[in-house]
Amino acid sequence: MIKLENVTKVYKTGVRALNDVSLDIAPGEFVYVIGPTGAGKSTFIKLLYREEVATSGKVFVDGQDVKKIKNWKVPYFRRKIGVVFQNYRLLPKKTVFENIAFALEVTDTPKVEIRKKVRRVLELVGLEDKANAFPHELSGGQQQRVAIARAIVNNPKVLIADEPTGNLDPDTSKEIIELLEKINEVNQTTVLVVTHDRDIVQKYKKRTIRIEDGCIKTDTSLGGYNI
Amino acid sequence: MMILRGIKNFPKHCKTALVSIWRNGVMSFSSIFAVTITLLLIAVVMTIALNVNKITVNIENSLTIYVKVDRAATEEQSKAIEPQLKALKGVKSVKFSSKDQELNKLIASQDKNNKKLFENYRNDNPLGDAYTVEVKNVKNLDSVAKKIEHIQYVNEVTYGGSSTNKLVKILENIRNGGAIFVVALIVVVLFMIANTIKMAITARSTEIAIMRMVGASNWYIRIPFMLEGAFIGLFGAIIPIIALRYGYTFAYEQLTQMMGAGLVAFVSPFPFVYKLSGILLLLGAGVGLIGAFFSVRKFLKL
Repeated sequence: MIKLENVTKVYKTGVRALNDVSLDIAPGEFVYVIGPTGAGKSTFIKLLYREEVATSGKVFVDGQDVKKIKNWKVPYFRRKIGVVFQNYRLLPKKTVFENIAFALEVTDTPKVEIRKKVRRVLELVGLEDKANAFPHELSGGQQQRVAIARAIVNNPKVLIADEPTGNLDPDTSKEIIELLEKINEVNQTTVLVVTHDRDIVQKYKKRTIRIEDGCIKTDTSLGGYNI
Repeated sequence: MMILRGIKNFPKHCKTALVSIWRNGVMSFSSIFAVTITLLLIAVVMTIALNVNKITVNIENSLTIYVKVDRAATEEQSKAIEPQLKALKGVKSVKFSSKDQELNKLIASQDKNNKKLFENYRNDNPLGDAYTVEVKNVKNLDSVAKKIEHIQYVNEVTYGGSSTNKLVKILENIRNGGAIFVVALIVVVLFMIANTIKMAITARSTEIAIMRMVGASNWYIRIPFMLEGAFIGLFGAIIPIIALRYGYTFAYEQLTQMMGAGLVAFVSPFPFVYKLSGILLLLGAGVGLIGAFFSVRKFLKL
């Protein structure tokens, strides 16, 4: 599903964020990406949803060479990828339902279908009763669930979560990771979680990739933080 | 497919654009105001230019050379001038007027008291015969007049050429100066609108980021902002159009009454006002669209 071949990313400022990175993630995998701040984790996921383009090497997502996608086609490519952030990024003036529907509206989905899909995804994240609430009326965990619902409502092949539990307490964090696990299992979505959270990585053992100084330090399917 | 989607989403995009104009109150208002001032000036300059043009053409078409024949010339000598005039290069027509006809014209142009005074000259007419010469091209007025001066028994040659040309040149300069001024103003307005749209974009940057994240196409994001620019332009055109509609009809009536029906005829208000209004609307909307397009472009670089 995701494949990097000798990828190097050097920013215009001269910062070398990634250095000759190669890796392979199969469809339906659940992967943690860990490492200290500034190690290149963010650059790595930005390359995947083409916020940035690799300086050299190749990035494939769903068999597509990301570099070769024309600028105007990027939006259509993005529909294959769901992204969730630490700060949720919900629209404050829209209800939960509208926030999720927004992702379908911009892709011209018929109204009837929007209603059906949003309801289904709300059920999956366990927020059926909050459809008409505004984001500020929800807890952090609930807001992150809405963000996840929005990210998966298009049925993307890959779900990227950038520090999804960064603002949440340990219990809520576990719920979020369990939700991501559920999505991974139910929809067979490839899930990529970038995180700092030791407890989570220790408790829910998955394939773990550690990035340090722009290189992959370890990559093991044993899981656990201290590898 | 793309076009169909565009039509389907059009009301939604319009609403987004209008809401954004409302939310950016002061900035939107100042842009609309700038458009209004510019379009007003453009309307004034264009109205003047088109009228100057019409008057110029009128004057040029009616420019003739007035040839006075020497009183000492006999009737035959006087008549002999006509074929010579006709033979000159660039002459369109030649009209003869006898000295009696000349006197009649002179008397007709006087008021009552003077009429009696001039009637006394009937017996001993001090005037001579005259010819009115029309030329094919006004530019040749000077050269034709010079040639006529050399014909025998021609006493005096007059034409309004040089002074009229000077007037036309001055009017043309006014027109050109105005055009440069207007172009400069359009550029200013372009920047004003671009800036307003930039503010609107900044105010909605989270929304745009999310739109891009969930895969909204660039046009989907761009259209509301371009519509916003177009609306600002259209709103800015309202006052100039009203001012033109009533201002010009009023000015036209006043000036026409003052000048009477003569050489100086103005462009009649209808359909002139409608045509110019259309131009103002297009200009406003066009400047808005282009200004918005450029400021959105920077934010959509991927």
